[in-house]
Amino acid sequence: MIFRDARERLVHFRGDFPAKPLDARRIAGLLDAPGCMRRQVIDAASVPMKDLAPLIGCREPRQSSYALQRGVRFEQSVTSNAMSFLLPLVREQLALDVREVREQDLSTVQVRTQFPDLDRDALTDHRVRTTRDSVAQMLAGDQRAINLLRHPYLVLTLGDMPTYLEPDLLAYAASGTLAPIEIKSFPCIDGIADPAKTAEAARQTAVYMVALCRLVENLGQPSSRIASQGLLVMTRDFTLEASGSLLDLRPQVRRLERVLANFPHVTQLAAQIPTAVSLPALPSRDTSQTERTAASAQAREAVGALPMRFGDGCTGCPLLDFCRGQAQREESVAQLGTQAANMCGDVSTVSHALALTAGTRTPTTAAEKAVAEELRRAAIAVQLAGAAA
Amino acid sequence: MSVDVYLGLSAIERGRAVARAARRHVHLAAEPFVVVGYHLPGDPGAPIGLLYGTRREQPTVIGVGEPRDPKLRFAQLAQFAMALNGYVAQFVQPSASSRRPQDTRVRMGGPQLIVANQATAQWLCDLMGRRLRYLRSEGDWPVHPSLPTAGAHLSFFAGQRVPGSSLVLPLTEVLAQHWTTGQLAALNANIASQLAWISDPDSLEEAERALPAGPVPDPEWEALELHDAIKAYGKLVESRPAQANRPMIQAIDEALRPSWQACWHALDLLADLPPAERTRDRWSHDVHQWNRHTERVSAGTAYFRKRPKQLQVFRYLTRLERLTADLNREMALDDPLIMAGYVASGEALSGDVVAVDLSGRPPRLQVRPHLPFLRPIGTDVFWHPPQAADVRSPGRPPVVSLTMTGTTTDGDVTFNVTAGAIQKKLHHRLPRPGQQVVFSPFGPRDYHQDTLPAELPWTHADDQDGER
Repeated sequence: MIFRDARERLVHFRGDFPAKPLDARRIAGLLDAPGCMRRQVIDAASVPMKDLAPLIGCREPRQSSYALQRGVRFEQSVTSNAMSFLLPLVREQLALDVREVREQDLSTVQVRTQFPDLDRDALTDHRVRTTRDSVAQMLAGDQRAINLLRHPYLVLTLGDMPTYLEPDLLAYAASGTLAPIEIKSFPCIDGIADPAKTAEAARQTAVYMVALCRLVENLGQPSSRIASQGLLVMTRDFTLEASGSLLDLRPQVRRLERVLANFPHVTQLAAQIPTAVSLPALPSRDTSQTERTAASAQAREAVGALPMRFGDGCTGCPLLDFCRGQAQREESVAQLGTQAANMCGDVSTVSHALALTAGTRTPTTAAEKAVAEELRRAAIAVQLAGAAA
Repeated sequence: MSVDVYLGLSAIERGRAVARAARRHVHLAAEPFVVVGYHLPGDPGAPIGLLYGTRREQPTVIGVGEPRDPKLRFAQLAQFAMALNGYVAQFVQPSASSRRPQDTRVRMGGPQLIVANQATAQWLCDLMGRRLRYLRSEGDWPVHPSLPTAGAHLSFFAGQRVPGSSLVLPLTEVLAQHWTTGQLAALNANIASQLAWISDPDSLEEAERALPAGPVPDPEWEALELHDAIKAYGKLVESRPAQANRPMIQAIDEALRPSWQACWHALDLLADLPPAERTRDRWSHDVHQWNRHTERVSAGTAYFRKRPKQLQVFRYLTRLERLTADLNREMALDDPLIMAGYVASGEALSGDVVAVDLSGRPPRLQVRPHLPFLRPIGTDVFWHPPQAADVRSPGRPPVVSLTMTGTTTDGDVTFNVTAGAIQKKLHHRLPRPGQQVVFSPFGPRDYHQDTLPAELPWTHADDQDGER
């Protein structure tokens, strides 16, 4: 088969596996993905990790139900009661002069109760359209416009599929700017929150902001109508009260815009996508054991054919077990992490590196010579230390 | 560092962890207080249960049948608090007399908190300390008086989690300092897999499937065992309240007992290493800090700021920098395998002394290096003679300063002595010809006063319009 377009290659690679568009978390994860082709192709082909990972033998990442429950409870308490807990934060932190709350809930649950007959696609369309209209109204300065929009639905086109994003809230006041609000249930103790979680929340909110920018441009308004800061609502100390903090999202938005402008690196990825393999259909409950084994083998072959870059960042990826197994079988130096892989460069296997160190293998290139030299110094230093100890 | 990579490669080849240090660089108390525990994911203020104690065969187990119930939580934690307070009480001076000589106070020793990993150390000391120390034993929501006291002690421990301190030992960090495994550094945070690499590589696969050592439980365990235990508590609390916590205690014991054993196993492995010399002084400093804390507690003036001011932050960072530099220096001087890293990178020189010329002033040395020494002329290095300290200044071991003057055609390096052995009576400090030496970039200990610059740098300046 002749492939004209890298998009065709991606679709062919995905094969019969279900496609699921990326969500904000995975898009934000693009900022983490440390140049790993395997992740990029899988993301670009809109393959759901949640289904792929267990099929190729990785431990299934499972979320804590208590943490989820707590998150839901917190969100409900913050947005209930006409947003009485949220309003002071919005006024104070975002400096939005919201006198009275005119809110609208665009969540799936809410819209379904209003329009019970719509199917899924029509529901999506309705939400997207209503969000667009509400935002247009807000920006036009309509006095009766909504100022707190719950669960709006934004669209971001990536790869070959539109991605639907659902921020928790959008806030706006007549003369102000449009600001996204994210509600998370990790604690902010004495004004200090876990930096890793805050950074992840910031990246996620930045994705929403990028989608908002596209929408606002589409409506013909300048992007200055969007605030450069988002509001992150967390629990205060050890309670379930709300505490807010502004997040300056400009650096994340800039990075994301750059990454998304190049996504999915269509022309660059093209050469890397193997044409001879493709993912199988996802086994369902009724699939027989033999079919399941065959599907697993096919998936492993397909994913294995994608080049990977193993390193320190891999511990956050659902495919860790698979890629680590491969690194072990290939005896890769990268098993030790990014620093070791960078130091050894082209000397990619453990036995190669140790042979250069011991002198049983002569270096041929200048790079090999440098690596051999450095490792030999280390070996001699360790040997001397052993004699002295 | 290249030595880390080389040792990592060796570990992969052997299929077993290799030694990263030839000495033990932490103090091990004769009777440490080991704690392993879980809290509800997402809610660090809601512990599920703890195993704790000073004897490996007899951990005390507490469980909170309904972790979201504050009254039950504090009632159970009171047991832990009493045990912790009782443990540290044995290290408190009977009378706050600063006229007591330093020696006796150090001999009384200090408390040591052992946890499995960094995350547990942060949860227990920083977060739980903060949670407990503001509780009141009277008023609207009274709790057992042991809780705020335990909170004060935990907050003290939190402030002492600095480089070089042995008051709180997160075992995965300490093990990683002393052994190099063949896996990603982040995977070493699992104490079971680290121990498998060090002492039982065949059990590696099993170790990776082990339940986490805390403070966050495994989501599957949470969905099954934890959920069942909470339901059982709900059923028993009305009919048989005395038994209501038992299911949770049992669930916690089963889940955390392997991690409890792992902590003691790690302590055994560390105890087998010969102690590094300068560990003793660092521990004395730890004990001194502890004594100051107990004096403040008994005087009622133990005060911990919730949110440090900019000046305190700056001071703290300067202190951390100084402690890190001091620790690196001391570890290298105590331990040839740590010094090997500096030898490999070319900062330190390992070699044989070829000639010592005492005729001129200053004395001159010629050394044949084991590895090409590529530093420029004028490089300062230091020689720490391995002899008994001078009687005159017992706290200050002698250090000889040398400056590189050139290299001979054979590749030998020549040095001039610049301090520490210029006078004739100090010539005995110099090495003899034929002796193997290591000249390091680490000079005598700096005893600067902590000086603050006239203006705090912009990164620490106070915002005029409120907090950032």
